[in-house]
Amino acid sequence: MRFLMTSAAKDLRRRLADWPGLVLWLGIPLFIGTLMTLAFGGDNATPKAHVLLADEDASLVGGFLGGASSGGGGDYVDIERVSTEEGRRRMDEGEASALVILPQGLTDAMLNDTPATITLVTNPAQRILPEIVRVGLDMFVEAVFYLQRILGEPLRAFFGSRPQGQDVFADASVATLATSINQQLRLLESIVLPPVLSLETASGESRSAPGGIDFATLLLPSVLFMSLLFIGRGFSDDLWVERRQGTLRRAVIAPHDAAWFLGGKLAAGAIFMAAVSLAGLLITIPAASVPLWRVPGALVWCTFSGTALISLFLVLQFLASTARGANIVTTMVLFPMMMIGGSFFPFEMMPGWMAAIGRLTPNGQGVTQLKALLLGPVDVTSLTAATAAIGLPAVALFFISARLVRGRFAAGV
Amino acid sequence: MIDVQHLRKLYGELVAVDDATFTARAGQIFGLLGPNGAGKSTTIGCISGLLKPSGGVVKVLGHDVVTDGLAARAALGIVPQELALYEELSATENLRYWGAAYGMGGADLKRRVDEVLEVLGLLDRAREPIKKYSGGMKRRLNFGCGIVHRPKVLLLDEPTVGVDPQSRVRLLDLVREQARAGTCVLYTTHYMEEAQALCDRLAIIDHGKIIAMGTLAELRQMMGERDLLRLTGAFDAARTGAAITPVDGAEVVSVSAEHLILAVEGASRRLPAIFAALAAAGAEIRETTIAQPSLETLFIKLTGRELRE
Repeated sequence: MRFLMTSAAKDLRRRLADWPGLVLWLGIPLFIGTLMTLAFGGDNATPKAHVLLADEDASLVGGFLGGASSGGGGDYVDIERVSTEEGRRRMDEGEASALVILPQGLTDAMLNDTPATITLVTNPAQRILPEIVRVGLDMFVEAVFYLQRILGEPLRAFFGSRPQGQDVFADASVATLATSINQQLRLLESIVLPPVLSLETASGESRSAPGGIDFATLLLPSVLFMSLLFIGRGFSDDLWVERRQGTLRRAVIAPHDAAWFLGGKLAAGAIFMAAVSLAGLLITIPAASVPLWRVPGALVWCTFSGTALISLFLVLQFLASTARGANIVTTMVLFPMMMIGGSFFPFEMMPGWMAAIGRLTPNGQGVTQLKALLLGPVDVTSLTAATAAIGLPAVALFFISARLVRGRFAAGV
Repeated sequence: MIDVQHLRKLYGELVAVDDATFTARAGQIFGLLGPNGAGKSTTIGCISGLLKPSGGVVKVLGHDVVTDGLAARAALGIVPQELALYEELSATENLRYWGAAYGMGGADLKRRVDEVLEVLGLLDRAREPIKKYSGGMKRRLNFGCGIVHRPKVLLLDEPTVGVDPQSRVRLLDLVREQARAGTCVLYTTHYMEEAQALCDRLAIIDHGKIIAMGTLAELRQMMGERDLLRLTGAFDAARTGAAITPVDGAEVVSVSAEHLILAVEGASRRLPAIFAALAAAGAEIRETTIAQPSLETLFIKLTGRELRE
């Protein structure tokens, strides 16, 4: 254990002495994050909710909702019509933010002022976009309620006047409905119009997502994990540095299991990850109004999952016979992991299927749980599962690395 | 202290070490002399536990390096051919780290590090990052990292390669000091002058095989006190051999179209007879060199090649 601590201290000293490397590790993710915030978090970009609409009623209400995505709501919501079965299947696969099921007889219930239930199924893996859909649907239901209160009678008469077996209404019925709507509006005019209300839309420097979460804040966990990925690779690359400078050979000859030597690297990496994570989290606190009590948990999580990333990259180093080859191998793993695992683009900006795959990656699980730990709510089962999914393979990979580092790798033959 | 019995190391088809057997004792400097690629570093690798032998047994202080590796390695110190240092750290930090790697700690480690720094002559620059050191200083520190934990067995793999003459003398003194203190030293080199000056006992290795072993006196005896006569020119191998055989005290070591090497007793006295015999065999001689008996001449006698080829 003492050798592990000594090794960790040695690696930390070496890292601190190599300040250009530090600047790169921390600077690149921050730079990319800033660029992305400027590019996507400005005036035009908003994460879009992909909503599946199963209209079992096939009538008026479905038409209204279906049209929502082509109106102003199109900035936030993208609606796709599906059957109920298909919608449920696709939700199970995490392909959309929400599924809205309009039951058969909904229009009749609305006209006749009888109870009906609109079912909303949200994607538990997403946090913000389903909330957009829920709030939108609440507003829609409320609008329908008031519409029914104001125009229920003329609408009932209108729909009741449709000739049997015909899709079109008589001109007289349409005229009667129009007259009724006009009369109701005149009646409301004296109540609604004065005082005159005007709505002005103002756009700040950065747009807020629903729930008061700034886009930049949404990006912070991603950028933090981008840093952890770079650091993880950097600490594992160090094996080749140690091999080149001969210290690896000397270390594995020492009377210790190689696991202690590698454990020192992991411990140094963990301390480094903790320091970087703490800095990142301290930025998040004011930006997203994260309560201070949430920080320790998030810090532990970042350190844990970041250290696991070192373990993953360590074992990748042995897949190549040269430092350059290892660099290619780790790059080929690092960048797809970063892109798909929510460490470049937040999951909320990805297509559902891609986000679903990305959440399975170690960093994807890391980002998902970090967001939950920072912004809540925390699902203990999901957190436990993610801990096991990240931790157990990391332990196995670490011991595989400890076995591989001795012998031919250290000897350089 | 080091007991190597029938050591064999294969890399696929390549035989890097072939049936090597030798023993080195406490307080002794045992030299492993051979050209580059002879199998010296592979032998060190097998003794240190870095490489797994393909056959044979290697023991350090009675501990088998394969079955009782940790105990065997605990007794070892190694000074590798290439520098094995952390450039970003200071000499003190490097020595402390490698001392800790062998279980040292606390006041004992601190005292020993100061002691080694003094012996190495690095005390005044001990806190500087070693990337600022000269090549010779790094070499000395590399040696220091191998002895900081007071090993009972010290493996030195060509520690003076690329070292300036002054640092080389200092390093060789340090090696002698270790042996005087009772350490068993295994020293590999392809510099025969170093081997002659330093080693109590020597093994000459070529193509993975030990081709001669003994004290310097014993090895000289193998040479038979004969000079080595090297001739350059044009030779007919078959006729040259036949022409030299009648010359008393001369023996053909190797012959090719352009080179002839002979082992000759009192070579300078026999030159006229040798030249006459070669002229009769149709040989043309352009250059002649006579070398006194040495490890190098023994190596040439045994292998037909020069040590540095």
